[in-house]
Amino acid sequence: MFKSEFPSAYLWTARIVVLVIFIVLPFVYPQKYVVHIVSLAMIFAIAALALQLLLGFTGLLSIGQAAFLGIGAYTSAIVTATYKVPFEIAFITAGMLAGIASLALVPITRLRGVYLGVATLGFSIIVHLVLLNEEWLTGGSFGLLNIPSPSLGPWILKGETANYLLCLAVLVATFTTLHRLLPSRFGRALQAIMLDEDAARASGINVTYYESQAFVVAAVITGFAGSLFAHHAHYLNPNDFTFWKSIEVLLMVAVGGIGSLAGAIVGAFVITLLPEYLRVLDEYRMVIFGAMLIAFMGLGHRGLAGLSAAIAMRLLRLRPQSDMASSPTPQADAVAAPRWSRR
Amino acid sequence: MSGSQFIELFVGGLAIGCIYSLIALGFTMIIRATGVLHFAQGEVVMLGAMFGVTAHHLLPLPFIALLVVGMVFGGLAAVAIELGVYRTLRVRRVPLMNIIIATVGMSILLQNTGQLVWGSEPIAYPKLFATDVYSIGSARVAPQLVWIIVLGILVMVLLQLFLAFTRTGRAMQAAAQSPETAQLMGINLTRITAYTYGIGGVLGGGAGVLLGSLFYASFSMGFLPAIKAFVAATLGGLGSIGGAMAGGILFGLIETFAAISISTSYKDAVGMILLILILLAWPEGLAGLFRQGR
Amino acid sequence: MTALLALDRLTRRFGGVTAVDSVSMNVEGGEIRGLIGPNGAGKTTTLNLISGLTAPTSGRMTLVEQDVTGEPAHRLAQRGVRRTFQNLKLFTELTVLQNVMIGLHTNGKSGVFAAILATGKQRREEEMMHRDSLTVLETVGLVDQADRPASALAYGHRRLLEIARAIVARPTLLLLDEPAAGLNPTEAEALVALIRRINAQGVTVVLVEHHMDVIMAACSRITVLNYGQKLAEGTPAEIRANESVIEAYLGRAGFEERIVAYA
Repeated sequence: MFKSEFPSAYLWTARIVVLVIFIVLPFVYPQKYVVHIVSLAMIFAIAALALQLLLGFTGLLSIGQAAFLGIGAYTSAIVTATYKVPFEIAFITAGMLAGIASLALVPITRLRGVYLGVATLGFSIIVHLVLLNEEWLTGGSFGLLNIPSPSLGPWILKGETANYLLCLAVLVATFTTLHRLLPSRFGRALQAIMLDEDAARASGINVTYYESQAFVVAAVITGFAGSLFAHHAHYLNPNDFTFWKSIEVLLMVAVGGIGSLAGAIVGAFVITLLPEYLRVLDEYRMVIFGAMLIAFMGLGHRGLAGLSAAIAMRLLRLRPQSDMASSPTPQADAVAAPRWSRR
Repeated sequence: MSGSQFIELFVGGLAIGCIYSLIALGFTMIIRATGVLHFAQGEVVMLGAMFGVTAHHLLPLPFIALLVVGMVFGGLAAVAIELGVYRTLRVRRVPLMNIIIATVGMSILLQNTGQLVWGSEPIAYPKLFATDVYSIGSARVAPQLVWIIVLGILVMVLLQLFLAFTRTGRAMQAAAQSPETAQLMGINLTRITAYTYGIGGVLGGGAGVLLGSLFYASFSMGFLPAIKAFVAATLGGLGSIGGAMAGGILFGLIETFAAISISTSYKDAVGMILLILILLAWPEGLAGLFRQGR
Repeated sequence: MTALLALDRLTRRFGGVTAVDSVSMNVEGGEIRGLIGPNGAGKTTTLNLISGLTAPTSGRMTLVEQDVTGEPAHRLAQRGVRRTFQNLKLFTELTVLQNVMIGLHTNGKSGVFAAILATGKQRREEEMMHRDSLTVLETVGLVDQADRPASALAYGHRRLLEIARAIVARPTLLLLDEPAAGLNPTEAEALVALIRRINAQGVTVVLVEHHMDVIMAACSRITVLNYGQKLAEGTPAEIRANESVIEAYLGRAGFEERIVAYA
């Protein structure tokens, strides 16, 4: 939500350049592994964007997004593999079901801060246990096999590249959607709730209603990501959707920068790709990963997106508008400040 | 359920509940003082267990000594992390959320370091008792469990005494309630925060030794119990010492009893569902229930 | 004439403390009603009750002859009750304009779908909100700062922004909680003029203030609270002369003499 200091023209140029790079990537680096891992990063970027809507723009700490990834993934997989439903319908169904499931969280929206986080964490754990134990539905720990490739109408999107482009398309659509939502009446209501709930109420905003909507929208988007995940991996295992995955999505948003849409994407890429890059370090891989996470947290609430913005500003010799430069109390505090001593 | 069965389950549940309570106390004290959800608390538990069992391999020590070793090293580790890492971040004035995320990073770092140092194989705690079984009426309980309960409660009582009667303990209480006023009274917040983490580490390290003696020690042992303890602390009301103790014991009992009545595979869910239900009724946990006039 | 706002023995207890004790008050449409009292008298709690941020423990509240007892804040806001806050509750990280546009939330209807699809209706609605917000900013004199973040505003301007946010949706009842706090005499005078202008547009005002000049200048009637109870009610002249009011503010008779003795 921190307003970018860049003039609109620069931002749009940057976005188009990045988009072109991504479109061209699988043709320049056609190695299956590269395309595969970048697709995965994009899928998680979609989930991270959804969490950003909740955390960065509504101030809701949700540590339960993996539940919706799982629900979306398994729904899409079961519906296509067992019932031979076409992918497009499965995809939509996955999102819808995840959205409906999120309605179970509506009573939880009255919780605040850490308590909300713990409740969503609990939700994630419960969903994982269901995925694990209901073997008749999900295959349990044996997993779900033979998930077909996605398809659009008559074309089956076989192969890594086709899959990649599908993921890219959904990612772009998600980004655009959220980009449109934020400056709208709906987006303003969410941000008002995050910045000052009482003032939002006093302005006529029904906080419970809007927070619930935010949860549903985030769940639907995450459900879509889950569907893409299933048809990308062709195999599902409940261990892909533990609460640790929920924490990973949170890490993505935190590292990228809470309150930045681009940051969510950057964070997703970092968290997904960094462990791969660190493979050269063998057994020290995760130790270094942990250390780097800590180091990233030294970047302040703007995260990596903010850092890149600052560097780019330096390089382009743009002077920050004196107003925008200082952001006093980051909304990250508003989320995490434990109001356990008062409601 | 027969009477002896009930006693056996009760003792088992109480034992694991005491362990959860010790970990939960650490969580609650840290969050009370700093607002930080210490995700690495589970790794402090692990370090306590590891140092304990390592000490035993070096010298054949009685169980109490292992417990002390675990507590001391747990405390030292926690203080080192706080002074070395968290304080550095605080000095840079990063938002609270960043510190919380940093504890996640610390958790990853410590877990994997633990794996490097002690290997991937679980390490068994030595058989620590001569008799195999105590008998309570017709019930048979492992002495381990009884000792865990006794020692766990002892530690909690000592903690209460420390907080109520020592200067440092009272300073910690003051700082938790109002940092600014505490500073005006001459309380050194850096020192107090370090003490808070230290005590959290002592409690966690102790819990680690107890947990290890109950099952085994391994690099990943701390994570799940810590999550459960955190849920228990929330159940009891974050920031409430009594709530953490009650929450931990309650969680342990419910988990143990649920495992036989509901299918074992869903026993973790029971705690979560209970948590969500309690939070819906009392958004501040059980402690909120007992707080008057809010 | 039936009152716009009628409080009937409204009470609010917090555990052992009775912040508002059986207060009855009728505010007529078109009034500027002052609400004063020593610190802790229950003024802000009364405003919280009227605006719905707190629910009453007992008693009734009627707005435009409809029973609105216990209705939540957002419902009352939709009914036309708007307010400012003692300690300023701006959306600091949003721009001045966005702050005011949130005040117009109730005038719009677009939700998630309309926003994503950018329907014609949604775009027209946004334009209207944009225009109306700028108009109000002009009224309070903040229009040239419309795109600055609210956090960048000077203190006096922040107070004006909060008022702008509260009046943009043409409220029926405007509650002002110490709007003059921290203002210098010039700003306070401008504030009184602004309040009068708002009132002239048909907005009923309830004004909580410690600045006696502002209260005496702006209000047609004043209600005095003390220890949660209504102490007195009347015109500014009547209140100024009221013995119990003076005593409530200054303590028991002989207070001044004691102060001199210690000085």
